[in-house]
Amino acid sequence: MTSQPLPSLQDPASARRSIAGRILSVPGAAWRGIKTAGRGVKTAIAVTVREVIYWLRLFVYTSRRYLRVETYLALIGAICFFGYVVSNDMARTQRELLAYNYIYFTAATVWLASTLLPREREENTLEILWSQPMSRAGLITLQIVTLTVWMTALCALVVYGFSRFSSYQEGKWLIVLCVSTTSLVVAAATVLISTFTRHVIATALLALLVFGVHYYWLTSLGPIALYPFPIKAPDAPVVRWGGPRDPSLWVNRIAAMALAGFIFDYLYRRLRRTAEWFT
Amino acid sequence: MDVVCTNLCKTYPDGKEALRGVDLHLRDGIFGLLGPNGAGKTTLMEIMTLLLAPTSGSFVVDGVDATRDPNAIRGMLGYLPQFFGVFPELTAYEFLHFLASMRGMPHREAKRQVDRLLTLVRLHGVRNKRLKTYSGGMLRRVGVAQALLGDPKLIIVDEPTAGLDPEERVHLRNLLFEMGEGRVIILSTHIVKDIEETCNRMALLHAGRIRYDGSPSAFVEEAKGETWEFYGDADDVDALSGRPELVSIRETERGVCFRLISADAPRDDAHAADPNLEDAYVRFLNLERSAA
Repeated sequence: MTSQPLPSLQDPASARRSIAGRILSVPGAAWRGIKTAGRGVKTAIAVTVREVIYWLRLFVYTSRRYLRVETYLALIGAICFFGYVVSNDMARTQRELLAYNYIYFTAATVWLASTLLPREREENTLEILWSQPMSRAGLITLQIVTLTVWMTALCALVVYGFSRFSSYQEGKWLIVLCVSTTSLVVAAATVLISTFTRHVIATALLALLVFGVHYYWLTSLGPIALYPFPIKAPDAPVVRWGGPRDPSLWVNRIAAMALAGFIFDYLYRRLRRTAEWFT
Repeated sequence: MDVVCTNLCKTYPDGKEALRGVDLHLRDGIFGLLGPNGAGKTTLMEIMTLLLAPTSGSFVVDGVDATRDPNAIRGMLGYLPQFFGVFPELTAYEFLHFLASMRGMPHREAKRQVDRLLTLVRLHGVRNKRLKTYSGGMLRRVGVAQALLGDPKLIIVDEPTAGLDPEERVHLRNLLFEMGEGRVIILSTHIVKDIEETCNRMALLHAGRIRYDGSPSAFVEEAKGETWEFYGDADDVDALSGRPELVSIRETERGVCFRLISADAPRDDAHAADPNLEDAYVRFLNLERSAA
């Protein structure tokens, strides 16, 4: 005869003890819960702090890399351009002030953004950066965001510094906001263009051409809305068309020069390659 | 540490087949990669550094597949490209600290490692000078230092001794030898002597395929009995120069000494010489040419 295992019987006393124990352990459990939650919050804070420090350090180094001749030229350009605008009292309304900011900061962002990836490629630093344990998207975003932050800072300096002497005085923060979002978009688009052109000069010229054409002709067509305008966009007719100070005239010329420069740059490289091939 | 390449193929958009089924299984030590220009060395290295995706095949490091977790592999990787560029506006310390920061190292650890590596490559004294003031050899050493950042388990170096003076070259070779313990170091170079003196294993890549995979000494052994030396004069120089089997010509007290690869003695006065890796490499290229 084989022995059958007996069904286990719960000791009523132990059951009572367990219920009592459970009741008694409520404060303990609550305390443990609070401690666990505290640990979670502590970990979250530590992770956040670590991430912030990580990105801040990369931001500082990326900014440090911008301190070169192009940046100094952009600063000098800002002083000259806005100095001229203010001294001639050309920005009397919010839209006019915004329009001049758009013109300058689009050009400056293109100028500096065109040196991001193409320069890495030309200076053979791209391979090193892309072999680091960081996603390419993260790296590109870091560069674009760093540029945008500095463009925003420069815009704030211009709007709050220079325009103290101009007629228009209200809603300046909105202009800074518009310029910062525009800088972000322009920088991203320029980096995108640079993936096709690959060289700094070619990127700058093509991007300038694209934005010049877009700003003065295509925005008025409506469907293309590349610039994120939180306020009513300063369309091209803001300025007096055909007048001696008509910026569109200058932009037309710059666009034509950029196009010529782009073609020349392309031909030059093509000719150089052909010459190398022949020799 | 295991690095496994299985049937790696790479075809570029223009139809050029750079790699045609490369199989490699590497373990700790220094591995030399040799091959003529256009053999596919750079493509293979770019796939291993995850700069390029293979058309087919797999690349696995310590069980981590490159397609599944590329950042994990990048974390184990140190890379010195052939054309190594720096940020000229930064100092050597800042440059290395920046890369260490990208690797997610905390500040103290990054500082400690950067200081150690700059001492190792003998640049600690000039660490606060801008990189644009450095000479070519110094920049190459900065490149070596950045490849060693984060104590990587897989180090890939492309022409590491190019542009270095003899003393620096010896120093770097010794450094790589010391680093080989517990790591896989892949050394791609045209300087055969570097492979001969540092690698315990090598592969020969030709036309996108691995044609030899083994020890350098076994590869050299294959050229035994086919390496010849003889002395000649200026007429022989004219007759022999440009011939593919010629390994070297040098002036000696007895006259011009010719060293060449041949299955049979090229002349009656030729004597068999002990082959080296360069002889074996020239022999291999000649065989490939005649087979083609």
